Amino acid sequence: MFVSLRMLTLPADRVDQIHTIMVSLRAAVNRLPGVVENLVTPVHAQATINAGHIVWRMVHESEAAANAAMLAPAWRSAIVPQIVDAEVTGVGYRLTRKSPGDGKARIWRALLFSCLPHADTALVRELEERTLLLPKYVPEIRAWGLNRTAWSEGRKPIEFVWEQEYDDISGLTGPYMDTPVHWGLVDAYFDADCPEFIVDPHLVQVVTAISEPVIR
Amino acid sequence: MSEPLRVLILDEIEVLPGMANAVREAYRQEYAPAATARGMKLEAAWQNPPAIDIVELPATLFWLWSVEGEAGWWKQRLSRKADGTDEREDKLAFWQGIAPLISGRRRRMLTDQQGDA
Repeated sequence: MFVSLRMLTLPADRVDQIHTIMVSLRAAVNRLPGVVENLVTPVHAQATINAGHIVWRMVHESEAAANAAMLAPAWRSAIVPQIVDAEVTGVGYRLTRKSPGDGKARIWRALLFSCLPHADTALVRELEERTLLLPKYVPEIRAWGLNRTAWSEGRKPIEFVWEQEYDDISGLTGPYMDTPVHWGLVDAYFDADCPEFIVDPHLVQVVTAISEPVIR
Repeated sequence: MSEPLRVLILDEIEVLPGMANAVREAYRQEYAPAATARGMKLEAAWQNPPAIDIVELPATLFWLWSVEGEAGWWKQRLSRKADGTDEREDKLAFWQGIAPLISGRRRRMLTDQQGDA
């Protein structure tokens, strides 16, 4: 399975049309080949960074199917008119390094980030290893995935997708932020005060309400 | 309500021979005031070799800071300048400025030890 995840930032004069755009996008996706799952939903009002207005996450049968979807006639005729004037931040990735939950979570969060050019590969590996400690020490993380992107589009390249599911937003704003694994170990790679600093400061953090699992 | 966790931030800077005073003054004059403004409290500053600067030898300078709880830690981490912009570039500029004078550094987060005293 291959995920294509896009965050859409609408131009100011179209923000009030967000619900119409989402309905149109959902209908248009039904005409694309090879789409297994489709989530089109507003970005949560809380705890987001550079995430825009709409989360659009499709799961495809394969990376080839994701590429084929973008070349389908319905993409040009039905998708493009909806997103042509939006700023799109997008990534494609295989959701392989993951741990699905029990299906009861109601908040999905993803942090999209990239390491600076020429970052020490040993430090990048450390960052991944330490990030993977978080689910062990934060039981409020009900499901998670940490995966490298196959491609990205938007303002800056994106290398990693770190996604989690929580029962509610307080799991993210409370235990996830308060755990010493976060501020004492993982954050050093994001912190300009630390010699481990390797993550590009341009982060995308997107949060949205979900009614069924996203990480499967 | 329980007391907030006392979090210590320890900077350990390995300084090239003869550069201890330059690094010390840069840290005192450029870094420390901004850190204090971010809510960090300076608890101690140490050096090795002890007591005197021996210009023929490398030195290690330590600064120990404290913040109140996780909230205090994130306050210094996510600090903003007066105009509302991220302070990260200023932090990075300081460390890059002293980089030619040092051979390495560490920043570690510390707390009291766990378990029975």
